[in-house]
Amino acid sequence: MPVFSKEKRIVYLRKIQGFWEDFHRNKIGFAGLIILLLYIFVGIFANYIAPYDPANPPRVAGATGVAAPFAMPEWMAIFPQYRDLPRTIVRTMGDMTIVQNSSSVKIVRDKEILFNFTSDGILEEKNVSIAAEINYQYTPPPEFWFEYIFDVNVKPKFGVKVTTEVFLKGEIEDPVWEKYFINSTLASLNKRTLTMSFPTVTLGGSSQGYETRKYLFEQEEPRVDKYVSMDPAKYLFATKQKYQVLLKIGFQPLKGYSNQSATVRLKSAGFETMGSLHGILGTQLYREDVFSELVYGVRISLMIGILAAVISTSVGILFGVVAGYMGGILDETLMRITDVLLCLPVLPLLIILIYYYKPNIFFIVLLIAIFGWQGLSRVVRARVLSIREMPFIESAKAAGASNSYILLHHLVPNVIPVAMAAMILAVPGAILTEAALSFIGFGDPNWTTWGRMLNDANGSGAFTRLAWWYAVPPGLAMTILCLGFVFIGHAVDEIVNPRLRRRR
Amino acid sequence: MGLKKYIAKRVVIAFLTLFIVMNINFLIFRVFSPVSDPSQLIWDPRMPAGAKERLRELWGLAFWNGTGWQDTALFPNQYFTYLYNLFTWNYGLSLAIQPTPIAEEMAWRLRNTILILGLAMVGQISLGIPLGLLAGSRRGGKADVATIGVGLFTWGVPTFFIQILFILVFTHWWGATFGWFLFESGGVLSSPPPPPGTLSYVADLLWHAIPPIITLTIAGFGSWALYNRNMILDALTEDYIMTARAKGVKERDVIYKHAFRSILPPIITIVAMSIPGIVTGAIITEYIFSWPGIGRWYIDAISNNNYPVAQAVLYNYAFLMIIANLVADFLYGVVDPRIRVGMRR
Repeated sequence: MPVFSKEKRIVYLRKIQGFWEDFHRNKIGFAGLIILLLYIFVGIFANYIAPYDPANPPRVAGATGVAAPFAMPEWMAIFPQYRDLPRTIVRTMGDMTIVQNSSSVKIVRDKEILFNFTSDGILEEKNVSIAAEINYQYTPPPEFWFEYIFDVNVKPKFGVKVTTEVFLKGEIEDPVWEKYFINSTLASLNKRTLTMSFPTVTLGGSSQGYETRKYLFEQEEPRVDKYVSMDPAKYLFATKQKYQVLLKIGFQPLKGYSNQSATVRLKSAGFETMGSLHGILGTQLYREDVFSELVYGVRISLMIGILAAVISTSVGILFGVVAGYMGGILDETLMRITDVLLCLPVLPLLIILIYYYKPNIFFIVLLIAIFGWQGLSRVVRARVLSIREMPFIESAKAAGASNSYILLHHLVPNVIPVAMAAMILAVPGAILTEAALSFIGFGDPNWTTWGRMLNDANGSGAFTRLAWWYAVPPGLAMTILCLGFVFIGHAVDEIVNPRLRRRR
Repeated sequence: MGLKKYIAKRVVIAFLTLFIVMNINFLIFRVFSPVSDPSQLIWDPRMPAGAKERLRELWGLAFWNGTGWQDTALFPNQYFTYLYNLFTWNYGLSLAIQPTPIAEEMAWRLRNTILILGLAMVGQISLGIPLGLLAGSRRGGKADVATIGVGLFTWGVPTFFIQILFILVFTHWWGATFGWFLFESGGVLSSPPPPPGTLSYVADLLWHAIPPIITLTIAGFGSWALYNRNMILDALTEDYIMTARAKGVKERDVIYKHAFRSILPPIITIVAMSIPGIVTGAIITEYIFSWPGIGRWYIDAISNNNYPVAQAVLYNYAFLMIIANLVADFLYGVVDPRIRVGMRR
């Protein structure tokens, strides 16, 4: 960059002041600026505004998601028909208390809970329970789970039965649902983690899911297993009342093995009823917070739009100025390249290039920029053609200025006002192009952009479920941001473009 | 530079551009493509021996040299076959287990695309140009402010967002609330389709075609209005308008007979220029409404690595654009006497 002398600085400062005088009187432009500043603010402070980070979705005791799929926005509860819809209730191990304790079990409670069982020659079962309380005042939740991760260390090898069971108890006793509904099964033997997901419908009424199976530990090394269950919530949460979730760990030596000991290390335990009402904008199919995705989308969209516009404008200015000033074969070549590029169908080409060369967000931005500079370079060239015949260029030449000096100090500053308007108006184009690409599934899968949110909404059936809180906000956010840029660009165009100004 | 020389130069440049585009089209799909052999994508262990080679022969990728199968050379054999096929408007066979002639499929798909896009374009222009005229002739009035607002709005709002909203409201919400669909959004005809040639066939077609047409019209007419308004405002500052007004010509005649007529050539040019742009832009529209047109075909072809189809579509897009550019240049040169001589864009 050229270093400006003091006089020049004053001149440029005055120019900017004059521009601002014109700009802040322009209502549309000012509105656009306010929109843009708002978005920039949200983009910068996305971490603080969004309750969750979409790149690291929240995991409460191991389960992803913050509420049931397609949960409504929480404020929808002001309508009477949604008032009783379930909310998300979480109880983690920290909320649980030890409620029942056989005398000889030693318990060490830290981040983890250690249960040390010793048989002392008695063959009777010993057990310990930990429990949490829930005050449940809603309609039954679409799903809920209880999850606990533990490992067991048995000494010596054989002869001990360790069981884990989960109970859900209501304050009002009811024999129908006072049954355990989660079982430890052998199914998880070769897999370290097991996720059992029982939708309400398939299990309804059958007693099979309620059986307890006991797991006999036969191996020496500690084993970590994890059981998740979503169960017939309709029956279990039929009454609005207080509930108790109970995890019972049982220990019993087999006959003939009276001197046994076992350590059960409970790493985590968590209970959650997934709500149908959540946050500002509800959730999507994968139980993640829509509002967080939306807020983080601001950052990505601004980045894509501004980066693509800056690159394409710089290239456009460079090619336009060089072509216009140098003339001759260089001019002809550059303009023919421009012609060819203008004849290429941009969106189809972007699709095929992205499909072939891995959809990376910066690659997409670069491609959008490469196909976006031709119009501006023509305009710049036309302007340079008229400027270069002006006397001040001739006097600069006479004073011995080099070509590069004239380009940088005389031509570029003169085309910058036009380029500014073009650059601002190129931003919405880039944002919408990227959104369109992501929408049809040719975006970067690592970034949750607004286009991808719409693609997910389309693919996950948000439309048929009328989940407007997922389908509408990304498009609306995009529209408002683009309008902001269009408004600013329109205002700047009116101010710097003398042809438009004359008509004022 | 005389007019003839100017036109000759533009034609030569157009052909050159077309040739460059053809080469880019060839390079992208056959040289830079990460998939070296398309037959490996559809290879199936149950296929009989030699079936793969037969398919490759049909696609022009291999041939029988008397003793064994041999790959066709990329250059010159494949290259010249490709060029010959494009010049004869015959795109060969699609890369599928059962190869079908691309030209046949393109014909009916093009019909579908032109149906929605042609009508949408008619809608946009017939709404946009009168609105722009109204706004421009009453500068600063309510119509003017509304036109600027609508114009800027349609500039910023993504077309596919309007379409999503349309589907959400008029298909799903309407269907859930009233139990029947106001518009169908997906496909061209219901299944089973009504017998062709009857009135119910046309009605069914329209029932499916109206959502894309309406949404495209809504998304596009604003910029036509804005453009037309700016043009008419420019024209109204000309000296001959002042002369006409000074003569006592009615304001109505000033606008329609003097100002509007003078801006017709650029409007025609813009119409010509925007045709290919709208055709390529239909990719998203056809994706949303599952409309089996060219754009939908293109996306499907790319996802299945059916590159002859993608090549044919891209080539046609580029061809359309080059022709449109050429026509626009001619119109500028022929229709507007002011630009006839010495024009250089």
